[in-house]
Amino acid sequence: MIRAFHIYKYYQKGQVALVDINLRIEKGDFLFITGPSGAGKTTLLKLIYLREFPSSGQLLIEDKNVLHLKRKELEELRRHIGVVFQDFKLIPYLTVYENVALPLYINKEPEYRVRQRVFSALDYVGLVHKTSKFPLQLSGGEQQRIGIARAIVRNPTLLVADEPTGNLDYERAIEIMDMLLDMNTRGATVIVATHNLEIIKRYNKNTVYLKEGRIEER
Amino acid sequence: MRISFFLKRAVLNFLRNKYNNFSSIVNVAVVSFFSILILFVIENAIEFVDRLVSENSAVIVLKDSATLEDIKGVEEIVSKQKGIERYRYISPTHAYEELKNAFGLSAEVADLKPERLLPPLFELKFSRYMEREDFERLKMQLSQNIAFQEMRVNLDLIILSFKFKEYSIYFKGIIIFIVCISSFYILSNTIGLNLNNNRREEIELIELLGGDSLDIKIPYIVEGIIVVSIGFLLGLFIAFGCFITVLPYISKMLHFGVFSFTPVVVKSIDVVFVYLVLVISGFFGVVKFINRFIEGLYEEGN
Repeated sequence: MIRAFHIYKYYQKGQVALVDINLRIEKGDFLFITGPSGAGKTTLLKLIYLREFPSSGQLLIEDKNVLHLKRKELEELRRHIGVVFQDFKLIPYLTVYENVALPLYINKEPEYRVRQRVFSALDYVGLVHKTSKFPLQLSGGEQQRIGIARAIVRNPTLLVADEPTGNLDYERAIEIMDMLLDMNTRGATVIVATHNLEIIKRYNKNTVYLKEGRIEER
Repeated sequence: MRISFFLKRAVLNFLRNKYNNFSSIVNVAVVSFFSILILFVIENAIEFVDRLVSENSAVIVLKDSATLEDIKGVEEIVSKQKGIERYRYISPTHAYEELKNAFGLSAEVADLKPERLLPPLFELKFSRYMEREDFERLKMQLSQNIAFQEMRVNLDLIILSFKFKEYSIYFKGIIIFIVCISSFYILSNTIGLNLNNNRREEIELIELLGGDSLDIKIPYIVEGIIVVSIGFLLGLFIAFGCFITVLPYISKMLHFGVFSFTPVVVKSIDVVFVYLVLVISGFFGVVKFINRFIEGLYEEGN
């Protein structure tokens, strides 16, 4: 599913974000990425969900080398990845329904299928009664559930969550993590970046520890 | 549905950025107003000169020795010539009869034949579509005919008309160039100002969801078209109002006659052309800015 060979990531200001990262994530895995702030968790996730690209090394997602992808191939690959953000990234002037439908509109799905899938995703996160609300009318936990509904609405093969519980209390965080775990049992590969060790302990899954941009053996 | 969704995003974004968009609408309206007004004035001036030319007639004088065949040759040239509304051949006999009727002249007294008194001639009336090339061709073809003696015409007026038409093309070109540049930069800056943090995140999100170039650009292009269309209609409305009310009023106040008999001509093709130039160059302004912005997203990240 994902292979990383000697990945380095530098920024223009000379800052080193990742150093010699080697990873192998199989289809159907559930993986936590953890480490202190500034360890490179978000950078590593950004490489995986194709927001950024490695400065050197090889990164293969679904057997495709991300550095050799053409624009169209990149768009196609991104459509197989669902992303959940810490700050939700919902479009404030669109309704819940439209926010969740956005990936399907991008996929150019017919309207009947959009409707069917959006309601199914909202039903899954328990917010089917809030379709016509706007994001700012919802609580933080509800907004994150909408974020999850948007991420899963296309049935992605890879689900990436960057600090999905960062802005939530413990109870809401467990709800969100349970949903991600459930998606994993349904066949999706799930990668979650978090600094919440309590959650990592609770779910007892494979974990990668990052420190100063390097993977630390534990 | 997908299209209506993207249109809805465009309209909502337009309303959310109404203050920036309003200032751009005013800018587009000012550009439209001046360009349309100047084009109206140019068109009217052309119309005015054309009418003067079309009122003008020319006389082709043939040699006394012109045979019937020569006259037929000249008639063939004239009949095939573009830019001539009508013509007639006036034979010496016919001219003589007219003179005799009008002034009581009598050639018999001097024992002169009409053809020795008057040359054979053609009277031409130019149409308003006479171009310089047509006129030069007519002169050249006539000069090659052995019966041709001279052409009597108000050359100054015709040359003035040709020059005016030529210069008006340059003027129009300058106006269109200004419209083009203005629209490009007005819309490029508008979209730049409208790209606040939320919308930057929106573009980034659509990219991450696998959106293609159109998914990102359509709302901005539509927003640009809305700005251009409202600004253009505003400018057109004011320009047209000015043209039919203020200009005649000024001419009346100043007793400046040239305005008062200038016919009111509104060429809708000019108006459509200005709108198309605004939309097309505005489109490129938006696309250029968004492209630069998307490139910037990756540069930031790398």
